[in-house]
Amino acid sequence: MKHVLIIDDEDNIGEEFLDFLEIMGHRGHYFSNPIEGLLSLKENTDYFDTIFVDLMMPEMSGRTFIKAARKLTNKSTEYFLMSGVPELDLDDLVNSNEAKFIHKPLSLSFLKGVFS
Amino acid sequence: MHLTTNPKSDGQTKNFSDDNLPRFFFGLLLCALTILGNYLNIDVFFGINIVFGSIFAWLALIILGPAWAMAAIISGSLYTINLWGHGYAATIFVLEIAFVIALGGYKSISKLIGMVSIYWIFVAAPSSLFLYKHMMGIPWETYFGLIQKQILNGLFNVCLAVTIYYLAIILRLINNSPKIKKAKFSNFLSVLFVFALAVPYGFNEIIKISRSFDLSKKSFIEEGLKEIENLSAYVLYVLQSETSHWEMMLSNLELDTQINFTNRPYSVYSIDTVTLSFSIVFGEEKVLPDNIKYIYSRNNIFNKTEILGCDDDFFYTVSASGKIYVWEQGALDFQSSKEDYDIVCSTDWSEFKIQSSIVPQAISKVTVPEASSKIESWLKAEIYTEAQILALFPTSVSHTHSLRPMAMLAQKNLNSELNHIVMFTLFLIVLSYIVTYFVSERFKRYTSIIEELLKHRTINVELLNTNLYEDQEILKSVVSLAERFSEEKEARTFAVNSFNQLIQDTSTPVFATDNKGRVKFWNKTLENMTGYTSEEMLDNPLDKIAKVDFTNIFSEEYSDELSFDFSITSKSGEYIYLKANQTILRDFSDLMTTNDLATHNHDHNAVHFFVAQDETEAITARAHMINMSRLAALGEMASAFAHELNQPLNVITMAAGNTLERMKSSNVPSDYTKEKLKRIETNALRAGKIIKNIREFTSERRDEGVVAFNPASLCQNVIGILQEQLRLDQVEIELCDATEGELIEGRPMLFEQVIVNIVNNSRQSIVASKAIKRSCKIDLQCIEGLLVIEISDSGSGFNDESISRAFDPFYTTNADRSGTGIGLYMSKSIISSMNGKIWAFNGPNGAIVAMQFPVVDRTSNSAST
Repeated sequence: MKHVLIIDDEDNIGEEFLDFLEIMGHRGHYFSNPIEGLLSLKENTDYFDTIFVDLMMPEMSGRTFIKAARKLTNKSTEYFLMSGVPELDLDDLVNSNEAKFIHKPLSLSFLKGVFS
Repeated sequence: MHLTTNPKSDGQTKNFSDDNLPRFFFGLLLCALTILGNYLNIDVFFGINIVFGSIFAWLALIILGPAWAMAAIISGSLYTINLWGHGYAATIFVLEIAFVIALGGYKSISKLIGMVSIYWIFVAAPSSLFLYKHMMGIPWETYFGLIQKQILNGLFNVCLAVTIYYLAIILRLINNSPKIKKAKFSNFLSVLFVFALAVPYGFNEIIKISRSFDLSKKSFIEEGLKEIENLSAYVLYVLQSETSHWEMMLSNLELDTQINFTNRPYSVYSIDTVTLSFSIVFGEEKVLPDNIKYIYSRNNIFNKTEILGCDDDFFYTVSASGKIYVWEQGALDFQSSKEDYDIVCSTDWSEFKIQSSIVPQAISKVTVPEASSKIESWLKAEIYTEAQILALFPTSVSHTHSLRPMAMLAQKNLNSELNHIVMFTLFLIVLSYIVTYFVSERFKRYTSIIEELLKHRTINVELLNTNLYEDQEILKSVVSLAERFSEEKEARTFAVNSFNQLIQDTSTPVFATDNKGRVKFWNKTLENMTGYTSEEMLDNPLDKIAKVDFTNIFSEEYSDELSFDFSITSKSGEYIYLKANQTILRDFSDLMTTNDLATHNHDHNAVHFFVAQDETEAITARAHMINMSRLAALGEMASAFAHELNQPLNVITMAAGNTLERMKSSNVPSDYTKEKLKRIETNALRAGKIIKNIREFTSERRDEGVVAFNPASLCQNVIGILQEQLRLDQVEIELCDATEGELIEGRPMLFEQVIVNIVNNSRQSIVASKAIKRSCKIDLQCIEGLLVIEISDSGSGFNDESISRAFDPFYTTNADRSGTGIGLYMSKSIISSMNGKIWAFNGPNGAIVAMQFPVVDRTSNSAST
């Protein structure tokens, strides 16, 4: 069982993510506000195995979140950056293996692959 | 009523309208001048004065009308009663004005003088005969003198009034009265003609008459004075002789109470004045005393005898003792009396003198002072002289010397002189009418020759008398004029043909329409551009193929600078955009009677020429620019659109996937399935709406028509389109609509583009400024018939450079973030095309972009988006 953190400004997506994790037998935590997510990470630095972050959010972009969260979590924690638009300047994140980019809409088969 | 009829009045001339004070005061002024004109008269001879009052009464009649004329003449005539001592002349003057008013002669200046002439000859002369001769009993000589003077005076005054009126018109001091049919310059010349000949001669003769009479008058006075001198000497002689015995007589006075007074015809006690009466015969006869009477007063104060007297037969004396003596007198022989010559002798006996001078002394000397002589009017025609006689008791002798016979003689001589002047003046007036008539007839003939020449290019030589040198010269000039006119016509025809050719062949689109927008001319360029031939277009309404409303264009006041934009759909279906400017072809208008312009009537069916400018390329370029601006905005929003669209898709995908997963492993509760399906449906609809917004914004409708639309509704659309981007950038947007659904006119899609550009600029400015409060507000309100839209933000605002160059093309403060610099430039262009205005300035929190548009009258336009 993995502990998964989901950060997305769309509540419906967060809820569906949690439903999926429940089906898959994982434990998910959802924050629509990335700042709240960071605060949670600060308190639970080794707790989350996988973190899914939406790229475009009002309070903070997914890039900024990952850069801040990396400083709080273990290197083993996997980061996934979700976006509906292809970001051309994500090379630094992707190349440095700090995060993996996944394209919205997310397919469940892809997510299953992530957790298998 | 206005006295001004001249529509080209330059505003400097006087108007005396009914409803204002100037007319009233001007009337009063003319009344006052009429009195003054009579007061400042010229005394030609005894009581025959030239008066000038009626000049102003005539002016009142011409300028102000009959009422004021009557008021003026009555005022002036009242003075003549005082001047001449009778009201007959006043009656004649008032009748003069009334006569002209009754016959309506004042309505035509040319008839006015004629009417006055008729009045004096046929009305005033017989009336005066009755009034002067029979009512006043004046002799024939005086009557003729008077009436001739009156005729001359009347004609002079009316001629002068007409001259003053014409001069006032010529000098533009007043406008021609509407009551006067026509003020003809020829009439003015004829009046001047009469004046030029009659006035010098008339004045010369009147001055001669006046001087001659002055000389006669002087001799009359001298003669009269000489007479009184002789008379006074005679009186002295009589008094001396009569009183020479008084001293001796009085020294022996005794009171005699025995006299019986009852036998006398009058009582001496009741008489207290002394009267000497003389009769004088003028001419070659001797001046002799007649019927002398002197009865001295008596005074018995202190019981002294002082009574003495005489009648035709006896002297009476009363002695100191009271005895009365009766003396027989036979020294004087009285002749028959002549009442015209009287001498009055009076004494001034005071009581004191009587007391101290009981004894009278003989009268010693008579003096006749020259200054005492005076001449009164011709009615009295007399010299009155008064002489002081120095005696014991101061005595004066007065003498009234009648000049009536002399005046009659003088008037007889004057009448013939006046007669010449009157006849000469009347002759000149008749002559002036004849000359004016012939000159006017001659001008009419010349005018008809010119008209004939202009109309038919022929000359009717019968109208000219070629025996006359002047007519030969006129004929030559007219022939020469005809040749030149013909040449000119040819030149003009050539010019018009060339012009026709030019506008046919020019590469510029040229067309003409009538007031109703029916095509009257269609040149080859337009044929090529539109595919419609001239034959197809002529007499057909232009709005059949063009978007143009001629009803509105020509309903406004006719303007030489008429221009309008319109588009034509060519035969092949392409849009052609034209800007038409009206061209006035005045020099050619009368000759533009080609087949294309069959009718040319300036009043109702005027042909308006338009030179058009093909703006299709410019409008297409503008449309491209707008499209570029639109694409730029779209590019900026692409990420937001993709994100916004993927969010619901993501929800749908995951909701569907989760449901499937659960269905694989166990029985899925129906509530769960329903919830998921509901979520799927909601998000699918949300995605569809987003796609619709994107499609509408990105669809290219270049030729969208101009319609009336609700700007608040479009602003709301824009907020819908930009909402996701604004949300991501944490910019709050607020729409405040204080309008009541007012509409503005334009292309809605372009308006939407403007709002998108401005809100996007605000958003970028807010993001760049890193402001804590991130807000953008769209305010709509109506102010005095204008719809004002203000878009304010909490960004960094404009700096000095950007505020002045905000609407310049390709100016951007956002070059590093792919700003094109055409957004605001195109926005201004779009707003201008909607007859709107746009401003950019800084507000208290950031930038403000304000726009204003004319509000559409909803009563005339019910269209709405």
